[in-house]
Amino acid sequence: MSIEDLNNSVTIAILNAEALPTGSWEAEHAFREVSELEQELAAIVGAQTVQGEVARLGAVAASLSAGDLLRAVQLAEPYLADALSDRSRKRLEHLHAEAEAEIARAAATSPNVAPIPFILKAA
Amino acid sequence: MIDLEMLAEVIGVPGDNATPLVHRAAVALERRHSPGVHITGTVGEAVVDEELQWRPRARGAAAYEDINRVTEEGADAIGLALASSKCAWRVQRRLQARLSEGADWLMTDTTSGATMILEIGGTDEQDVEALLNRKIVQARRSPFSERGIPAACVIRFREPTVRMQIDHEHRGPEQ
Repeated sequence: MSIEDLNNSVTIAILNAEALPTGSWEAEHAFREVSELEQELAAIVGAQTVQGEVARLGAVAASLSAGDLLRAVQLAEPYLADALSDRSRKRLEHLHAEAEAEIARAAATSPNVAPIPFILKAA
Repeated sequence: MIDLEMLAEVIGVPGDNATPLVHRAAVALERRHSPGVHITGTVGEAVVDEELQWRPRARGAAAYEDINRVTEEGADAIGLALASSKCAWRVQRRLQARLSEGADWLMTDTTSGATMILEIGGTDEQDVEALLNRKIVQARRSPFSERGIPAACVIRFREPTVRMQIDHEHRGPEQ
């Protein structure tokens, strides 16, 4: 897809995703699509442009909205090495920290799972 | 005259992007007005007095719509139409609300090539100047305002009014 096609697709995807109930399965699914489109844009638009900054931050933000925290962290890390403006970098650092904090919170509150040893005996 | 039904062509986006915005603008306007009503105000330094046209919606169309969404997206439709027709801006794309804390749309000024960071606000009855001041502060705070030019546009539906401010003086971060 061209940049213009991707911009049009991501616009439709954002309007759709933001119209769905926050946190619902449908919204998370829709934001996953937004994140993928933003990632595609980020791959072809330089970080030194406004569009490039928007796509990078957008890919991470949409992953967070999709509840895909690991993806948000994995996307943010290489983008932080790109030539972003100071303000966009700060915002991206904030999104990265938000994803990491959410992962830590989920790990701390998830039920512990421990192996239970057992031996099968012949009947 | 601005024909809202021609929004896709006016702002340069596919019909799929424009159709829901146009529908909500029509619903918001039809709370009190009919096609042919004028919108007055200022866009940058220019005084505006434009007739608005749209296809009348079925009676009861508003019943299926969220009132806040109608006001916000209706304002988007009119604000984008005015930005395109009065300032020669073209839509690049929508921005995510999670990122925006002050920017809804990324646009290109086709005369200068500059990227505009446009925040649009809608209200039925609120004070339009106070809302514009809030919106321009939000646009300046956008993470993208270091490399783009912040702008804000506010639409009021009670007696259709527009105020649009372009912050050409803004440079870099604002705390």
